[in-house]
Amino acid sequence: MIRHLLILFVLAAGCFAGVGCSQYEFNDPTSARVTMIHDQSADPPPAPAQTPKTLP
Amino acid sequence: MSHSVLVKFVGGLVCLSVFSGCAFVDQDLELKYQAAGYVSGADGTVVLGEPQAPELMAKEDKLIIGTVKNTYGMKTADAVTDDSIPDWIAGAMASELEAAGFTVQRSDVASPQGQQVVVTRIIKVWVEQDPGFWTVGAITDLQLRIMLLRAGQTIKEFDVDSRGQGDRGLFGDDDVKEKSLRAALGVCLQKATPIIAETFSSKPVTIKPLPAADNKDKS
Repeated sequence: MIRHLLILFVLAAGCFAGVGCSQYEFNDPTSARVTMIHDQSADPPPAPAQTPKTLP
Repeated sequence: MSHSVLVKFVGGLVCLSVFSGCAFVDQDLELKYQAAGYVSGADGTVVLGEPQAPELMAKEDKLIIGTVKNTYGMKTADAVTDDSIPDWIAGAMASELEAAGFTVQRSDVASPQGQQVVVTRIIKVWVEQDPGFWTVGAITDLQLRIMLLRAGQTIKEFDVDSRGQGDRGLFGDDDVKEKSLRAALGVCLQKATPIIAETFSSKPVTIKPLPAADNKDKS
């Protein structure tokens, strides 16, 4: 009885290890991440210098 | 079975188990890229500066860009190339920008003059063998800093950090590493090209939803 349980335990452990290894190996890490450091493209152009209005 | 034959047989088995999967010869990698066409509909002219390369160790006139490992994960040799890394990056960027619709002028200086300029600094390029339980792969780390200049003014600056794995194989040969390098550059340009196109194109651009590593299987 104990021998059968041991065999079952070893088989189950082997299956888990196999599945775990295959998932680890076929997990594709291909990816990219963008970190924006500086972005002025959306800023409006600088406003023209205002000339002082003279009152009549 | 005589004693000497038995000793030779056991000795052979020990050598096989100890040296299995060892590669003591440097792997010479070829840097290639094929445009995937991540963006379309752009217009205008873009001047592409020569990318600034990182400091890399050299070995017999070749640059060391990665490691070769045995099945136990120990480094046994180097992955080297005699191709130009700046040329590889610039060629790939130029092909993607041309596929997007830009007219690309490549310059041999890092920060060229022009109305719309792309300046690139290669921060890291490194391919590491990835010994697994069943198969052997390679993972590339590629980091670029890209600056977009309009009339001499920097209007955008960003980093792209990418990791790429090509197809895994039974042996960690140079083909596995070359595919990994192409996958990393492919996914890097998949992120960078739309940003460049949206910044410099006067027309709205179309970004194609493509799978992540389109350069995995292309030779």
